[in-house]
Amino acid sequence: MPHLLIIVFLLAVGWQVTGVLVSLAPAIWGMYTRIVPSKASADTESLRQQQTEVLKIRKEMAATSSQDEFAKWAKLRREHDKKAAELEKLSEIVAAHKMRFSQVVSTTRWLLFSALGFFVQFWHRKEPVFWLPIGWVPDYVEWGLSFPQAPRGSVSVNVWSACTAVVAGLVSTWVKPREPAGSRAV
Amino acid sequence: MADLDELEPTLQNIIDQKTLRWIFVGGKGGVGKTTTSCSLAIQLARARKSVLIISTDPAHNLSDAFGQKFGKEARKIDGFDNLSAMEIDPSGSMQELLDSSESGQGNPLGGMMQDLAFSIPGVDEAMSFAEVLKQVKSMSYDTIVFDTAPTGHTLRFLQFPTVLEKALGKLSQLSGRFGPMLNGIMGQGLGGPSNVDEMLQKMESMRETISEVNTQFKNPDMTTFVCVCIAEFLSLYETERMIQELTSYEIDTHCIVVNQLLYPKKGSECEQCNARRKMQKKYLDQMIELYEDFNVVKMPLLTEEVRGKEKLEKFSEMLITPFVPPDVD
Repeated sequence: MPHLLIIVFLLAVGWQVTGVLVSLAPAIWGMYTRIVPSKASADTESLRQQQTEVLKIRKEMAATSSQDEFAKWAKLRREHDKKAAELEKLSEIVAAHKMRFSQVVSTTRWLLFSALGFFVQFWHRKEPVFWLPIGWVPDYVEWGLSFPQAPRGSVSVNVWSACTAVVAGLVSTWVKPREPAGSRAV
Repeated sequence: MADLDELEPTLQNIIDQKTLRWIFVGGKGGVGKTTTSCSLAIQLARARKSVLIISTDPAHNLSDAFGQKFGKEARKIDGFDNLSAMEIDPSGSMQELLDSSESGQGNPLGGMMQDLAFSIPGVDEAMSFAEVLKQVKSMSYDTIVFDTAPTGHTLRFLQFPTVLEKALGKLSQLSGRFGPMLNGIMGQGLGGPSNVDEMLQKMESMRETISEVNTQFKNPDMTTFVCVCIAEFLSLYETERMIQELTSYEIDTHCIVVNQLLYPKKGSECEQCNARRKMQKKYLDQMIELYEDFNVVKMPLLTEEVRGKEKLEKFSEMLITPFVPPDVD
């Protein structure tokens, strides 16, 4: 069993790394729907087909003179309106799939890292992660570093996770691709 | 051009369909809606016991067409004994409704009605429409022909029943729950405790009327919409849009009247007439191709205005017996 120090550190890093992945969710979603066969991928596929079709009809409509060939144009338009309505319905369904997908992803992420982290913190709350050399820091700092229940003179798992979380967070802000304004990571 | 499965180019089918109760006539402004609806009403009057023609167009033309003044009450048209006409102003009767509900100054319910009238767009027109329908229902006309206002307006009118039915349904549901409480609070302030009940009852009965009318409008055996247009691009465009919208409201439409067609005589020297005839023919052909499952009625442009009983009667013949153009190019 690896040292507590490493485990906690890895949890913090893992949280941040998956955070970066989640911020790339659109790409992951695209891959997911292409690779994993499911209702969602079938719907997404037909959405893509519909979009192509609607675009094709639009192109055809643009190429048809509404004044000279009204009948043809109007028939195209009827088809277009019908397809566009279907498209709208379908894209709502796909958006719902996407929403569910991102919910599952973020819940899994939370369970894997955050919840596990809390559990580790709780379970090992009385154990020292590592000891500080005697006399390095004043008394009250020692008390703070061992907060809440680790033995005096050691660094508690809670303090250690807080530190790793902050550091991993800082590092990830340098690494993470800049998000376009207005969007938020899930 | 004459396709084998092309439908009869007359409105005879409307005359023959005895179950029809509501006939709407609509189209863009200036294409001859009033003339067409009056002619249709005249033809219907020959086959039915009693016919009413209602104009919902704020620019009332019925009076002009028959040379007789019509108002909010149905009145017999001179020279016919089973044909009546009335003109309603969609925005006017809401005002009356407001006035009647506001019996005293500072009546909180009157205020409420007023808020309601302004908060839901179109509700005032819809309510006045419902009022009229209620009136018409109590009268015993076999068929009612609506001479509607130009396109956009018409469609809004037809859409109302659905919208309003929903809104009023919600309202009456709420009032079922809170009505007694409202009554308790407001009843004391007002003259009588019956005031709230009365209002709710009014709304409920209006809702019933509307939902009944709504089902009738969606029934192709009882309601149809006659589209009137001229053989020009914009008119055709609007007609197509209107037909699509009517379909989405589930309102039956299977007749199109094309007005103001020019048939210059063979060898006519009139340059404009020939050019227009060519253009009209182009659009007419397109129409016949596009609306193969419609009765497309072709009406010629006359050299005089169609005003008055005799001219309308003569004109109306052409809705039934297709106009045979004189020798044309």
